[in-house]
Amino acid sequence: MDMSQNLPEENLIRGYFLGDLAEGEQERVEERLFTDREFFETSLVIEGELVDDYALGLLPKNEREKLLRRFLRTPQQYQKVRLAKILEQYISNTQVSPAPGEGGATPQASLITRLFSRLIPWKLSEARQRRRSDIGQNEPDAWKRLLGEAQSNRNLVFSLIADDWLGLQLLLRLREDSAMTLEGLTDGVEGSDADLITALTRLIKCGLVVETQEVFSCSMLGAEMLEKIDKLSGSDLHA
Amino acid sequence: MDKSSATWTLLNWLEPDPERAGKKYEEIRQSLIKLFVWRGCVDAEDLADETIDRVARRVPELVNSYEGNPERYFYGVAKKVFLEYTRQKRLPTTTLPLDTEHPEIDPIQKADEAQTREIMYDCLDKCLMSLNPQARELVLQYYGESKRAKVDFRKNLASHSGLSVSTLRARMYKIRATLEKCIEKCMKEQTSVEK
Repeated sequence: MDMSQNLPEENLIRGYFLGDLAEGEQERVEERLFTDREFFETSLVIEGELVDDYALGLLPKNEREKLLRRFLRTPQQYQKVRLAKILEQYISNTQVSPAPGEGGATPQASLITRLFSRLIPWKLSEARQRRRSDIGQNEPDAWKRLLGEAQSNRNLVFSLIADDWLGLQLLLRLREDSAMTLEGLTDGVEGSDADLITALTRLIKCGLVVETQEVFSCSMLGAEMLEKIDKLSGSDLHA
Repeated sequence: MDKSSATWTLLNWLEPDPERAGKKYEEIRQSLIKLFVWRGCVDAEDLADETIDRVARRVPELVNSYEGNPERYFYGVAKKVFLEYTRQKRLPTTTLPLDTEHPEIDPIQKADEAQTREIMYDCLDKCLMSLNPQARELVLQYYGESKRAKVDFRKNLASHSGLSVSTLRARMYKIRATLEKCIEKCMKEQTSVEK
């Protein structure tokens, strides 16, 4: 699909969707949907963008009304708008804002940003599952618990990524060797003793690591978390 | 002439090469469906099939008499089918409640809406996870970016992603189509489980 900018053509297609064309022009557009495949595909792209722009509130009022009257009348089209709205809400509810000056989670963005944008939705999805089971229970209590869960999720992610992923490095070592002393665990890991101990304390507080008589091991939750990270980052962190 | 031989004659009329004929047939069907949807028909697929059936019935005559592009012929028949449709069945004239905060929706409907949204969120979780990582990243950026930079957000996103605007648009179209299909399927499954 060659989507190189062809503004007169794109304007024509937009005009078709907005009902701005005279009858003859409208028929010519429709005929081209059959005889010119590229034109048809460009129309699909523009349809999707108009629906998005409508759903995201990016259209001027007059175009919004035209689209609603002319184009968004069937359940199929309604479903498209709905999906765009829900997708946008879902992402703005779950995605972490980029750091100042950062344009967003680009393909070149740090692994932190990328993992954040994937782990948080996963954790929120779990929270939603639990919320459904809360229906019928005391609402304020359920919300209190949910907020508490959200906070613990943030702590959990922070325990992994703080100090240049020190927590994740430690957790990975514990997955390799099921039980380690502090000395063995920190041997060869970069960072001051204070940083290492702080990172380990955070992991323990979040339940990712357990300590028994000064021997540390990866908890069930820790193993599950690593498995999720493997899956979501598309790489095997064993390697 | 039975239906299968009519279809075979139709395909042959479209293109002598069977593989290319099959592709052309599919393309015409897609164009028909979209035409009917964009004209506001609820039964777009049925109308597309009705158009094809009518053309197929006439192909034996058309092979010898019709000159020109077969696709144009389909469009002509589609216009007639549409006219008949509008006579029999009135097109939806009222708009659907597209704004989420619609004042006229009653509380029961609102509860249903909330439940449906919840199901949709679950489906989104699944469907986003089924996309490849690059596609998922692009969706997250696309809908996240639109909120932050309303004007020219596609241009901004393209430059951040190292893609040309045209590549971004084409890619987003494909991803959106994949997501729509996945969510539609998931919603059907989830709704039947809830029932």
